[in-house]
Amino acid sequence: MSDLSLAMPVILLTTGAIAVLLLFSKKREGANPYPPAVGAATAAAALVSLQITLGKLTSVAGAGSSTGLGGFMTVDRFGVAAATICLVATLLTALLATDWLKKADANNPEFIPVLLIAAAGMVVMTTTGNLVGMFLGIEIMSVSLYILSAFRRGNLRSIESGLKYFLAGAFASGLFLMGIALNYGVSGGFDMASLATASASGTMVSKVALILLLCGFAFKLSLAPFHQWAADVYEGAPTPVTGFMSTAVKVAGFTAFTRIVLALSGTGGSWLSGAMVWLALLTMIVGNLGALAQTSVKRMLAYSSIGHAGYLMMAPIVVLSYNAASPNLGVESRAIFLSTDAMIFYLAAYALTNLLAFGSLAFIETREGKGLDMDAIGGLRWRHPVAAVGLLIAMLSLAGVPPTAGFLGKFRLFGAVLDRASVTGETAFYALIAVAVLTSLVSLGYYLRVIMRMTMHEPEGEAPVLPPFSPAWRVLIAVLVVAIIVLGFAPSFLGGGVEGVMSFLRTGI
Amino acid sequence: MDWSTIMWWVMAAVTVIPAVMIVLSKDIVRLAFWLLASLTGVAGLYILLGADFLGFTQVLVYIGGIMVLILFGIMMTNRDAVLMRRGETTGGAMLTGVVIAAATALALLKVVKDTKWKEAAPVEMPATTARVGEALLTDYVLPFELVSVLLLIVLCGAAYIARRRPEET
Repeated sequence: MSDLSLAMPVILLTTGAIAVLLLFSKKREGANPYPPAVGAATAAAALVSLQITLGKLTSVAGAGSSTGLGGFMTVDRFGVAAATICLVATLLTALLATDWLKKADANNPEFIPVLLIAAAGMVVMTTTGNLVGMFLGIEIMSVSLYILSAFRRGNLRSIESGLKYFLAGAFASGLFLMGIALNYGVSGGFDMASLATASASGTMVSKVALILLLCGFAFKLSLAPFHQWAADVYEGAPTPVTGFMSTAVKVAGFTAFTRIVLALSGTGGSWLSGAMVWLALLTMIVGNLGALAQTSVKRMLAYSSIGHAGYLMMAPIVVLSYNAASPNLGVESRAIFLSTDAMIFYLAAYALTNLLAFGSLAFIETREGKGLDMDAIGGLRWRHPVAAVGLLIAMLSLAGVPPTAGFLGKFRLFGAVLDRASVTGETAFYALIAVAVLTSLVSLGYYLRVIMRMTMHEPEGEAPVLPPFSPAWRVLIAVLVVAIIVLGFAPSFLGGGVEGVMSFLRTGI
Repeated sequence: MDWSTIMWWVMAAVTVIPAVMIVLSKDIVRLAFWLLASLTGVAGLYILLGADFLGFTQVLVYIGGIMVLILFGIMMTNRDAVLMRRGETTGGAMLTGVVIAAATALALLKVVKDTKWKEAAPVEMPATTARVGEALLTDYVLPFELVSVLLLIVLCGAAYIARRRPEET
């Protein structure tokens, strides 16, 4: 396989972005339907090229990954799965944003190019085996998102969101870069193996480097106590952008972080897991309790996404608990497989669900021109049945109610942790499971409140005469609803899914 | 003491003394010129380390580009001399600052002294420019191109956010 084909998705996304910039930048008046279409087509092309790379990968017997371009591209199943979710999220965001882009203060052709470049950054983040490549991916993604957050230039909340995101993100990038530099000082390298070398040396500097990397990721993934920026940024950013930020960024960030943890597992980096357990516990509690107190749906979803980040953080903790000295290495590597597999599935389910939620909210926002507080969705069932169904399924899936994808995601992720708990017998894992289950119960409170508002509060006064909405949008929502339910019933749809559940049932509790 | 050690001390002084002056000076234009001196010292340190390309880039980008940008910024925005405000720091805050700075410095010194850094035997370095150029187009072609994408998106975003809105034109 030629080196260049490994980077093909990135090349396609960048080319698409530049093409849109060159072709459509001149026309500023009136809505232009072409950029979103080109954007979606580019994301689809990148998806296809990614799957072709994966196909070549598996056709070579025994090859688990393919490295090229000076080690900057390491394409393996884990990375390709994550990049696929990111690209699907990009595609859906481009389509869902079509309607929203017609709004006067958002009607600018720059949206799609910036979105595509963000996706390119995510693909780099998920498929690189090098810390410098990872940093560049994170920067490309983050800078694009600062721009997208502030995309409504005339709106103070949007500008505030972009600025806050920029400041928090720049700080996180600084921490990350400092971690890379210290790691280089100890190990003399930038690749993943250098992390293991540094970690095995057990020096203070290598520990500080890892802590800095952890803090950098904690900022980017809005883990408590590094989460303060998230609520304001998510609320102020344009709704389709919030959907993109809360899904694709989490996918890319968790994948990159897990890749670092994978390099560390079994090399004496397990001291880090104490800090990670506390981060995860705190994030679950802060996210879910914070969401209970919110009156704006968007802000509530921001806190809910913090809570979900807390659940997801459990997967890297399991990966880090890999014990190279164990007599039964099969069980140890199985734990890694189960947890990363569950994490990818959870991310896929969460991405589809959150995109559905924000897609429906973006629709309500553009149609009614009101904010997105709880009153705005009162009696939605009567006004916009399609949007109401979308939100209903999204809320059920986020809460983890069967038969949605969210349920199976939680089931598999919690199952992987429980599996690990029964093998190692460590209290930390039991504590994680207990808090995860309890906070999931708490989360029902605020998710069900949205459903109650939509279905039980009759609209006040006259029902407004509403402009018709596009059939394309209706189809999109229907597709997402079906996808979430299908994933909930038949996870093998995503490949290799059932196996994880079965093993959980076999090993029991 | 051999030549390179003497040069190292000279360059270190050229870097650190202006850095202290940056913190102490009041006038923003003076501050900018002290920054110029400090950055020159850093460039010298790079060249002493055998990274001649990095040193020249430092001169070009920081001294040639960013300094001019800062001075232009001052020139275009203010006609009067810009003085840093003084006297707002209380004694307690000053003390806290000194304590924290000292603690950080001590911790850094301890880390630097105690760590076993990965060391390579000192060798006579050939000129790096050609090798850097070659590396950028072979092993490092992907990060090199990614940096261009990053710069493109930064440019695009800056232009988008800073551009006048239709109603303002």
